[in-house]
Amino acid sequence: MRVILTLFLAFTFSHVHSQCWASDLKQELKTNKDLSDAIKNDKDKSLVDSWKALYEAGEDNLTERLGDIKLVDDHLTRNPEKSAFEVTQEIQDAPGGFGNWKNYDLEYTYREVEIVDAGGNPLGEFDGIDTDRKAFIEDKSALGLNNINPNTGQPYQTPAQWSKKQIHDKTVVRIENLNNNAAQTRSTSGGSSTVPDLNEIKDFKTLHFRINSDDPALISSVQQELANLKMEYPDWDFTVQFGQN
Amino acid sequence: MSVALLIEKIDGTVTRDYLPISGELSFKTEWLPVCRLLHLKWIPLFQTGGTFDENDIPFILEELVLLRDHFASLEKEKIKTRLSYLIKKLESLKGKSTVFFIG
Repeated sequence: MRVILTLFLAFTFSHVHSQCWASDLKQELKTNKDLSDAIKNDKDKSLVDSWKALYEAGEDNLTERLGDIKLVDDHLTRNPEKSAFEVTQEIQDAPGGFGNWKNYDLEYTYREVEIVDAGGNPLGEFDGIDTDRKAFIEDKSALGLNNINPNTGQPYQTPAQWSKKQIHDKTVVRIENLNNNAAQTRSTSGGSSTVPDLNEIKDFKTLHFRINSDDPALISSVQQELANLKMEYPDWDFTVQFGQN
Repeated sequence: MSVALLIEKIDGTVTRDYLPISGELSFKTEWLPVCRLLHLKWIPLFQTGGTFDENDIPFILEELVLLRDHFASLEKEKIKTRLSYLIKKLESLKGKSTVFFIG
């Protein structure tokens, strides 16, 4: 009797729950033109599943989050063995969640590409370049953020100071150098033996940081600096992932 | 973000003088093992990065010279050249009031 009751309750709940998300999706498609257009234009993809997974995972404001729905969909496409709900949880559980997931899957077509001026003087360096996705990759270690200055006995910097220097200031210099002063590329001692021509990468407008820390204060200050960079360079796309390098 | 020198102030004047030092991968796989071998304590700080001033320059220079000579003995020309650029730049700051970031 207990088994029958349990089965009945489970069926009733799932039926009602399923009706609930289906009804909400229907409503969503009426009001969310971007989502309905995306589904129309990507009929072979699983945007509905992705929307449903986000809904079931308790994510809210889905009307505003077509980008996140597409992130789930992209991740699902690359990992067909997983369910939409699994990939949604994977993104949710990553440090920084959805806000820091974009571009996590860039690949190193080249490692350590140096840019130099007409005189051969070094101007900057990119830890990685994904030529297919037209993106620069920057690896950064933040694990020693609490290192002590041997002379003063004090920590070198706060997360906010670190982010200002490492994320904002250095990026500004390198973008300016890339745009205005770079004459050619060069390989480094530890990087790829061949590197792309400057003309191949000069118009890339995506810069993705990989920071091997998931300290909440650091995540917050890095996000702030990325927002500042975006205001200064609106045609660039700045993204980050934490806890992996 | 690779490792670089960013000079912020020289004698009270704000600058943005920038010198790339090493990619993150090279720093991890080539620089740090030698730093451990030579028992260096300042240069490993560059991986995460930190702000320094004129008081730190003699200590940093002392280690950079040791490192450059070591890489020269290994015929690692590209790293030796990078170190020479950095040594020259820091030597030019001697006797000045300065704030710079390396990381």
